[in-house]
Amino acid sequence: MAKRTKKYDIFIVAAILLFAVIMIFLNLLIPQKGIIGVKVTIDGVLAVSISQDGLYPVEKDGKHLLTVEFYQGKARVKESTCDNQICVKTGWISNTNQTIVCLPYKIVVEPIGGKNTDGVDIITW
Amino acid sequence: MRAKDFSSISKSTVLIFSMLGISLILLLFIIFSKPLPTYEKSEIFSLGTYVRIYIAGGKVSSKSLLKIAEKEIERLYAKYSSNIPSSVVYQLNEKREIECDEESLFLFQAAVNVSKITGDSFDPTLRPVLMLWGFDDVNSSKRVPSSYEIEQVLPFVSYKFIDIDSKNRKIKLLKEGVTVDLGGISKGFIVDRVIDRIKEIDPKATGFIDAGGDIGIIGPKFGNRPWQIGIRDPFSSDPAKLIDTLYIYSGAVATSGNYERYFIQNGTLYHHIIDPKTGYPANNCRSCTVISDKVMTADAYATGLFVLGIDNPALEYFTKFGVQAYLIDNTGKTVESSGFEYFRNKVK
Amino acid sequence: MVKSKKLSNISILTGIACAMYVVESFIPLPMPLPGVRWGFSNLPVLLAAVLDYGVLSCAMIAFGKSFIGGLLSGRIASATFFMGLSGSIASALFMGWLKKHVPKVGTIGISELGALLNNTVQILIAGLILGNSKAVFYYYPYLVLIGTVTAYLLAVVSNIFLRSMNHDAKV
Ligand SMILES: [Zn+2]
Repeated sequence: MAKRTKKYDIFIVAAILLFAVIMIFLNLLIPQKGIIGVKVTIDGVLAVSISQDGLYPVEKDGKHLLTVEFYQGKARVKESTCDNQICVKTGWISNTNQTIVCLPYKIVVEPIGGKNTDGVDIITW
Repeated sequence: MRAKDFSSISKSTVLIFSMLGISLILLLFIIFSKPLPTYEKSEIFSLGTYVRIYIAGGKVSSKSLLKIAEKEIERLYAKYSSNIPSSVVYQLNEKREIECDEESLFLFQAAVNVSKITGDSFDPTLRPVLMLWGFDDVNSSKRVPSSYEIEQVLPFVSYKFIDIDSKNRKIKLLKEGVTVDLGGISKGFIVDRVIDRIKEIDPKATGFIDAGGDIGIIGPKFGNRPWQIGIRDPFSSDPAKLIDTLYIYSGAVATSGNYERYFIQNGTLYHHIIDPKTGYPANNCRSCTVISDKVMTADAYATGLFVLGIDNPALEYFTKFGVQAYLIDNTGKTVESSGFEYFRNKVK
Repeated sequence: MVKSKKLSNISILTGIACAMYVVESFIPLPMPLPGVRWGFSNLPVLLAAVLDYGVLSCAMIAFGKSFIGGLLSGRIASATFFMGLSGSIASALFMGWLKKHVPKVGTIGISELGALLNNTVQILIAGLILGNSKAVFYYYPYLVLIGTVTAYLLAVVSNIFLRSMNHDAKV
């Protein structure tokens, strides 16, 4: 019987596995915890989608509303011109089940990608 | 050499028959397997808060159920918000006596009932006091009223001034100056109505509606698993920090906390949960979580039991009304009713 | 070589692939990336490759499964559909080519390399379509891992087929 599994096969499997493991390690080195990006919506309409670190001002009809900061897998509303400042006080979010909501401006900052690390579906508050 | 292969029929038939066998198995799998439902979500700003809807339809598509839910929420919000001129509540405050439908009668009756049961720790006529503090609307400016101002309006606060005539479908305010605000109960009631509506259309639908932390379950996760619900830690400014986790298949959970709406003046925190008997924020509690079968009940009792505080000797009495509660006070002390522990178990 | 027999075998393989395509979409992946699948439906493509049906036959099965499977599952012409289509055609062409021109690679090697190419092409297209390359590449190594497992299983199953057909005696 000719061999169906040949010598190269083992090398191929080993190489692919090694490749995957190295990639996973690289992923762990770069922000492992946290989220990959956020999307910002104003009353359900997408305003900006963020996946690079930086400061992102959010405007509507030429009026500055607030600034979203994304930095190493975390996002926050850095400053806001809204009156109750709850969005700013919310602080950093770094989990997929978290959102930052600014009720006065109807703005939602919502994570995209990443892992749900605390495993809760809903929060009662 | 390939020609040899196919010259022998039996070898080729092996392939064909085994493939047919596999396809038969796959066909049976397609027919008898139930795919996991896929959840569609939607977020809207309504009910004075941020509402999240998660639905997976059983026989109706998740997307159309979402649309129905969104429309129904908007419709009912317009019907019961005290700040919208066409609403039942606004009309009652203006005209002092109105004729209304069964649904509105039920809601007003429910509000009055909770007031009675909680010994007026929850009151739908609190609006004049809320207006003084600026807690009647997100955009109202907030301030600490003088004790004189509060004394002036307290005589107008009592559920007894609402007269419900269910026979003639009439609601009447018995005293001049009394105004109604169903804010503490209508949010939950609306979520209940929307869930009922969805269940009518699609009894197999599952999911939940989260109206600013007041949660109504449409059906268990994937039809058989509990939803994991975290209770926010009232001592942390991080809204995602949890103090406890509940596992809930159906029914509702709501929390009242002093961190929801507040302002700070001269170093003192003033929050929106006002004791109808004193006119001041209730300070014998920091967070009150209530589990019930209806969001309306959970919502109203979360407020009422918050006002009654952590030293409430009658907490167990309220379990008779289908309510389980968990309270945390300003020192971190906790108290709960006997049945609350049940919901902490993942496996029932 | 009986041409009609080969043609009928290709049609049967395509049919099976379609059924497997629909069924595998019911089996949830351990990660929430839209459009990514287990890849069990690549079994018929792999079989066609190791039976040395040729590059074009492999590609035909891959195209047929993505197209008809897409129609059946209602995902036709969506972004995820194009991801799957390009991934499986690329891997089919590659597997057919490997069998013909690289005799040192056995069934497992063909299956593994095909799966790797499939995942890589899907991820590249997903990155292009979704525009969020960071999110997509985060999952890539995990997909490769899943792909390795699936590909190994498929190779084992294929070898069982080959054995029952006594195919190896002539390879
Ligand atoms: Zn804000």
